[in-house]
Amino acid sequence: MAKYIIKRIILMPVTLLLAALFIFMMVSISKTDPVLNMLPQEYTQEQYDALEHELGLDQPMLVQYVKWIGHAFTGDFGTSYSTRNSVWNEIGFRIPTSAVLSLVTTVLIVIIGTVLGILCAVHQYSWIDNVINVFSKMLSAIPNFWIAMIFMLVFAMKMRVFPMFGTGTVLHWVLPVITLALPGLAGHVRITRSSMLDCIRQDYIRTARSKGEKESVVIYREALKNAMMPLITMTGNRFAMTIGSAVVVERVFALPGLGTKVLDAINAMDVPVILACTTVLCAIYIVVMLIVDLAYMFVDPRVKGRFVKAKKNKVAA
Amino acid sequence: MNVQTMKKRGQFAEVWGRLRKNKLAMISLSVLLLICMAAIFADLIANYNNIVIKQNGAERLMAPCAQHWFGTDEFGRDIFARIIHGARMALLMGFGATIISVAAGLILACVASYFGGVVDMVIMRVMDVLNSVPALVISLAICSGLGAGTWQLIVALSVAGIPIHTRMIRSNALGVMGNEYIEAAKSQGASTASVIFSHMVPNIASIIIIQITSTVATNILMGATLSFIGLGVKPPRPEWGLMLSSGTDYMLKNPHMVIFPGIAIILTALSVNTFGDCLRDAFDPKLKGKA
Repeated sequence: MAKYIIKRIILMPVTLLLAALFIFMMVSISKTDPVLNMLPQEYTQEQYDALEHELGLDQPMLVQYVKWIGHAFTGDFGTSYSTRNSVWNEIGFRIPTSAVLSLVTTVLIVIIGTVLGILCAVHQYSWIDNVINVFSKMLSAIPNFWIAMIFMLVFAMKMRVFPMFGTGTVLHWVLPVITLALPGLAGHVRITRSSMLDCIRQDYIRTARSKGEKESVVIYREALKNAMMPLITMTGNRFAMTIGSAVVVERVFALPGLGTKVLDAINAMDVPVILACTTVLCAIYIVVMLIVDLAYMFVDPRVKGRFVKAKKNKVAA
Repeated sequence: MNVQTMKKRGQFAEVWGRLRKNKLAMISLSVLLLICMAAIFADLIANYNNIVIKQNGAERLMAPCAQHWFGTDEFGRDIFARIIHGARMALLMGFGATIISVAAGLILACVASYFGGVVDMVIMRVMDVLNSVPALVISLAICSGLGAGTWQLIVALSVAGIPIHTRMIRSNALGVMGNEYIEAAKSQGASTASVIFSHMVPNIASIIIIQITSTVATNILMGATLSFIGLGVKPPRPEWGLMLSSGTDYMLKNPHMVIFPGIAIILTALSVNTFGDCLRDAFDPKLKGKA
């Protein structure tokens, strides 16, 4: 098992490097010339060449990539084309905003979604199950940014209960978090429900019932414990999806996060900032997925057993 | 109906039979067909050059009335006409991008599972790398590389979907590969393409259809989102996400500008999703009531 964990941890930076290469290639095919954008209206060829050389854009793409990775490892993501500041100074302080937003949202989704999902499964086909089902179907068809706009219109503009833009107080976070949570919540409820239903139909539940256990013990101790396993993996996926959708929600509510920055950078074709923001988002994603995978291994004895058994067989051979 | 005729009915006829009995499936299919009709006959309902993109200063920001059912936008353009024409973009993004990405995923998955070994490993490792980038970030990277525009948006949506389809289809194709009829076809000297297209693909057809229907709504929402943040379809072309984005500045006094395009998106995504769920149940009645 230790071998598997080490392998996963070594593979992680490799995956990140390749993911960064993919993003680098995609951004590099752009036809917009950043050098032209930065030069004044009237310029000489010498000025052009000098700036191109300064930015390192006269070299082949792979060389640029290797250099960029080398610097990125030391925490130097280059200089922003549009502000001429160090990229790290531009985005470093934004990482906590995005991370907190996604994290709080994911925790909320998991807690509320699991409770509602269990409710649905335990009372399958009752009115509460139907109501939650219809709502979750509706929610998964509504675009995030539309919920954000309607919330803003109703709660911030008309009722003035919550502030519209920016951060500062806890109240500023309420609308963005709810907006971000609703679609994810819909998915989580459906998965919890089906996972619980699977477990409730198992033989060991019938055994527990026939032994005369209380219904609450059967549901919460026997079924829930087993239904939790796939939910752990889903939690990782949910966090990853939330990080993606957060880009748009941050933009609508003007939160100073990575998402707002990356969209501005794309509009200005500020390549170093685009690369840094997307790579940081990928890094967060990859680390979370790794943690989830490892957690899964420790929690589920069946998965753990697979590795222990494999080891024993090897010794015997 | 006797046993003989029941056996003669193909898988798809049987699925259709089950679908027809499902009221929800028929309602969502009707709504979906209505939206398709609106997209096909959009030019008959409203002229593109004279109504949909022509600015009319005298009729700016009108509330819904008899003449303009859904009101007008900040340039005096009729919102109803723009929503009808926007259906074209939504369906193009939804179905176009999905079919491209599922087709790419299908080819990659079949090649991977047919050849196995190194080919399989390389394809799946590349997919793993793509999978470790959030879908929206893939789309952002592609949109920033290719620039904003309609075909760029479709490329971005298609590429973002490839890894998940490849994975899903491969796991099913691997199951089919183990069957004897594949071995029989191979031993009779059937070419690789023939084994893949006449023996593998028909046996995973239900998975492919389910993959398509479950992705269309995601792509419609994602396309609208990218257009909303200015990376997709360019104005003045009518697109629902774009209409919402321009409505943001006027929504306090003119809520109709953000309500109607939003409802159009939701109605389309909801009918596709509902029909997709019903279709999945019809393909495999055992799965009914799950996820």
